[in-house]
Formats: sequence, structure tokens, C-alpha cells
Amino acid sequence: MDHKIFKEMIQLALLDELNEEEMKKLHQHLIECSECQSEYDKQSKLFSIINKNKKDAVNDDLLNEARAQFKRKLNYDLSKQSLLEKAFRALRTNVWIYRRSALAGAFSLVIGFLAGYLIFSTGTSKLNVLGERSGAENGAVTISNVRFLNDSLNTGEVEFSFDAVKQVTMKGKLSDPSIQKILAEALVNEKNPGTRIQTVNALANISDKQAGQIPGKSNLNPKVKSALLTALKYDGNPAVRMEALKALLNFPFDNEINDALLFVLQHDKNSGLRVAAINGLATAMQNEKRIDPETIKILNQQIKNDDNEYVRIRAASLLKEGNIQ
Amino acid sequence: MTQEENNLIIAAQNGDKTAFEELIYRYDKNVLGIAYSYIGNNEDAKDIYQEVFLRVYKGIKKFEFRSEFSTWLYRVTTNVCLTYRSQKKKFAYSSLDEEISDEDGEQRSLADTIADGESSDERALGSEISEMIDNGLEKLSPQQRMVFTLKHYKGYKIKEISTIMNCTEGTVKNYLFFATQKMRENLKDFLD
Repeated sequence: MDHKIFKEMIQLALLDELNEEEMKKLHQHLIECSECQSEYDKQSKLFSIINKNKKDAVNDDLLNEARAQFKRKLNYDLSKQSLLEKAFRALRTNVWIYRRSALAGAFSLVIGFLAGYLIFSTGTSKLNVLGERSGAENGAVTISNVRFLNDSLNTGEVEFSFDAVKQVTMKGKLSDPSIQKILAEALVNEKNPGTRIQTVNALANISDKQAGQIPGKSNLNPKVKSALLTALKYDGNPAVRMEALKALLNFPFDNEINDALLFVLQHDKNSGLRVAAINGLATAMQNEKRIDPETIKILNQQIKNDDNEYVRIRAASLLKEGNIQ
Repeated sequence: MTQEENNLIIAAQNGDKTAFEELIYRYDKNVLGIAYSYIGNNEDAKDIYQEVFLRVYKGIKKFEFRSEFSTWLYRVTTNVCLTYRSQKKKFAYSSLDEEISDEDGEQRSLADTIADGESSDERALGSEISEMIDNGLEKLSPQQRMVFTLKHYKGYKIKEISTIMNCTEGTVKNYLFFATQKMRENLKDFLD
């Protein structure tokens, strides 16, 4: 074997990629060859420098941010998709164009159809739409980001995606599940934290009114609770998370809320929120006269590990309140 | 793949969002780790994370259990990373929530990169070396850079890398040798 091969073997050896036999062969050569021995030392030093400077610092905060960002995007895409599905379903039942030359016409028709659907369709909702505004003079819908997914010339069909934006003003009762659904989506998808706080406050009002209802008889849209749980765990703004926590405490306490509070206690870097989570757990404990083993375990962890003294004290006092050692 | 994981995949294929989340949360830290190691900054890593899981969400119905879910997932991850630089503008619209980064991002990560107890000279030297490694990485093709990342930063075996990147072990080795050569040229002053 020539030196070139041994030099490659040196790299592989340092990367733990040689088998026993190859390692023996290399060691034997290194004993006999000073040039390769020197190469081994240099390579070893290089890998040590690379290893010392490696970029693998993914912490839980970054992970939680990535999860929240993805969740918002997915919810946004799914809501957009369901609108498009409706439009295309309606289109398929009405429009059958097979000729190659009609592709451009079909495209225009789809845009027009969807615009009409968005402007004139009131659906079955009882929402009171007060007004629609758009900067475009020739239509209330702004269409952008048209992306062709499939334009098969053989079948004469065309498939594409686009963003259709229309400004709408609505008025309705908070008890209306459709209004609740829109607010829930706004809480998860809205970029502006101020708007998210307003939204969560509106949702808190809903949950407050619904809290006294008999389980199963509630008029509450299930998306409301889900949105509040998402906001509590993943919203980037602590004020939004705090309002979401307060709103959730108006709901009948259950495992989902319990888990979310434990998540906050373990992962939220805002100590005020961690204390609020403990207070939430305390309220639940007082009402239900019990505390589950997982909660005890996490409270004990926080007593030992939390960097905030008040959180540690509050966690300890909760265990004491429950007579738990 | 465990039976539990199979069940989660099937549920996710049937549109169960909770199962999908549970499934991806088993691997997403590693996905983010690969993205961060490859691209080198938080914002782009989050962007890649988002693109990867959007593709996985859209594509999970087509997953036919012919490979491990994790292998498929990491293959999607490397594909997104490899095309990210050239298509960065295309993915830019995915960044929906910039205020999160304002609140939590750069300062902390900068602090995290500075190890406790290091003198300012050591930090300056470390920073210079990091810069030179980054320069070396810039000279590599996306594939070479990805192989380097998976091997040196994430510790995958060459065989695993070849499966993830859908190429031969020989190709992976060649990419590694080339990348090492470039790094040696860039870090020459620190090796002599």
C-alpha cells in the first residue's frame, strides 16, 4: 500500500471508521513510517480543533421557538388549504376543459371563480359581515404567490396554489362557535403580539362564561382550548402566555391543562409564568383535594433545580400545602 | 421502528395532528441540530426546521415503511439543507414570527458560544479559528459540507450518511477527504 492510502486510513481511523484488522495494519505502518506518523499527528490536531469548534448548540429554547413557528405555519397552511379545497371542489363540478389551448383560460377562470367565491359566498355562517375592504380597485381579493404544482398538457387540467387575501370586518357574539374559531386561529397565527393579547383576552371572556356549563353541553369551539394551550406553551411573548394561562384556569381543570402547566413550570424561562403555573396547580389541588405523582416529581425537580428562588419557595410551599414530603 | 412508532405514523397518515406532533417530537431536536450545524445560525436553522416538517407533513401519506422513519426524515432534512442556500429567498416567506427572535435569539446564543472561564485571548483565538472553519466550509459544495457536518458535528457513521444522503460510502469518503483537505489549508497556521 502506498502512503496516499495510509493517509486516508489515518483520517478514517481518527473518525472511528476502521475495523480491527485495518487498525492493526495502520498501527504497524505508523511504527515504521515517520512521515505517516507526522501526518497522523497533524490530522489528529486538525480534528481536535474542528471538534472543539463544532456547532451543535441546540438548546430547548431554540427548539421550542422552532416548534412554535412550525405550528403557526402549519395551522396557517391548513386553513388556507381548506378554503382552496372548497373552491376546487366547486370548480371541478362545473368546469371540464380538456383542450390544451384552454389552459390559460382555465387559469383565469379559476382566479375569477375563487375571487367571486370569496366576495359573494356567505356560507351557512350567521356572522354579521360589516364590510370588506381592499386597496385594489378591480376586486376585493389580492392574489399573490401563484405557484404551479401541475400543468399536465395531456389532461388539460391545471393545479396551482396561491395566497388570496381579503380584508373583512365582522361582528358577532362571543358565544358563536364560528367567532370562537376565528379568534382561536388568530391567537395561533397572528404576527402582532398586541393583537394576540387582545385575542386571548376575548377568548378568556368566552372561557369564563362557559366554565360554569355542564360538561358536554358547552357551546365552546374545541379549537379555543387548543389555541390557548398552544399559546401558553409556545407563544414567543410572555404577556400572551400569561393571559393564555389565566384564560385556561377558567376552564374545568383536566389533564391537558395540568400537562400544560407542568410544561410551563419546566420549560418557560419567565419566572413569573413558572410561579403562575404553580399557582394554577395549587388552585386545582385545592379543588380536587389531590395531586398526581408526576406533578409531585416535577415540583421536587424545580425545588432542586430552578434558578429562581421564589419559584423554588413556591414549589416547596405547594408540596407543603398538600402535606407531601 | 417500534410498533408504537408505526401506530403513530399510521395515525398521522390518517390526518391525526396530535400523533404527527408526537412522532416528530421524537426526532425534531436532531433535525434542528443538523440544520444548525449545517447552516450555523438560529434563524436559518428554524427556517429549515419549518420547511422539513412541512414537507414531512405533506409527504407522510406516501411513506411506505420501506425504510426507518428517522432515515426518511433525515433524508428530507439533508435535502432541504442542500437546497436551502440556493433557494433561501424562496423559503424566506416561511419566517412568520420575527418578534420571537427579537426576544430570545441572538444574545443568548452568542453568550452560549462563549465558554465559562476562558480568557479574552482564548476567546479571540477560538473566534478566529471558528471563522477559518466557516471560511473552509464556504469553499465546499453543499454535499461536501453536509457530509462534513454529519460526520464531524453530528457523529454519524459513514454508512449512515450514505443511507441518509442516498449515495455510496465511497462518495461519502471522497467528500470527507476533500473537506478535510480544505480545512487543513484554511487552518494551516494553527497546525504547524
